[in-house]
Amino acid sequence: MAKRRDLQAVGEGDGLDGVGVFAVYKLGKDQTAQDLFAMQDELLLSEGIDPTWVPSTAAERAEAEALSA
Amino acid sequence: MMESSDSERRARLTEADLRRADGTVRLAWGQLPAAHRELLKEIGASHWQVVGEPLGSVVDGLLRSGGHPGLSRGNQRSLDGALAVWIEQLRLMVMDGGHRLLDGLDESAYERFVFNNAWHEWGHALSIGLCSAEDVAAGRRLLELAPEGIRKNIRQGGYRSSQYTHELVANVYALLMIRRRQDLLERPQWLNEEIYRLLVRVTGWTE
Repeated sequence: MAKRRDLQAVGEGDGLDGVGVFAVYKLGKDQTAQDLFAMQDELLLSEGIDPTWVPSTAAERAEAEALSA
Repeated sequence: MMESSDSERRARLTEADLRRADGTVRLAWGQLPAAHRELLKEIGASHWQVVGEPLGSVVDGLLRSGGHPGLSRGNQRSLDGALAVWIEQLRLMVMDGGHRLLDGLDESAYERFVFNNAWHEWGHALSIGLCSAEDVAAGRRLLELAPEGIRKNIRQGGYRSSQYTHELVANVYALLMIRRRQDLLERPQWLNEEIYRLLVRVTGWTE
């Protein structure tokens, strides 16, 4: 596994000038969540995977609670 | 500056809305492979905060509180439409739990979207922490090797070329996590071998 490297130089973030390292997640101005899902679904379908989202299970919810305890 | 309709919508946000978002991020955290959670803890990237305001002013306040210089108005504006941000200086992921794109999603779509955003940001944390300068420099070339949909998404996001590698890792990481939900751990057919090897190296992804 790779070792953590030094922080990036100031200004090498993504659009924030001179304020250090940020990683901002944004969609395009007119994009929606459904557009993102469509892109992901297309890739999954291309390899024959059912893209139907599997909601979290009760057991997973309990595990998440335990992790946060 | 956000539009007035955004302000009005946010004024209707409740504590329960933010708790819902926070709980969903916690679920996303729980679904990460244990080794990834450990790695994120190791690099100090296991903390998050869900807020109900545009991220520009929030991040400005967090930075100032932490003894760092604040953000200019221009930088605040560029953050205001963001879904989430990983702040390296504070080792903190901040998510906008009141973002307009969360509006109107049914339960499973809401969960999927918040999961995606959280996995994306943790992918970022790993990428920024563990990619080499050479990896970052190769961003433009790597983007050309990415599937068309991912390439288009990153371009539409208006990122600098110096951010392409990190965006690529974050986008693919979220997709690998979706596949993992169906017990698929090997390299996807649609993913270029070089990009996959980068993911394996920086995230410790194992088949």
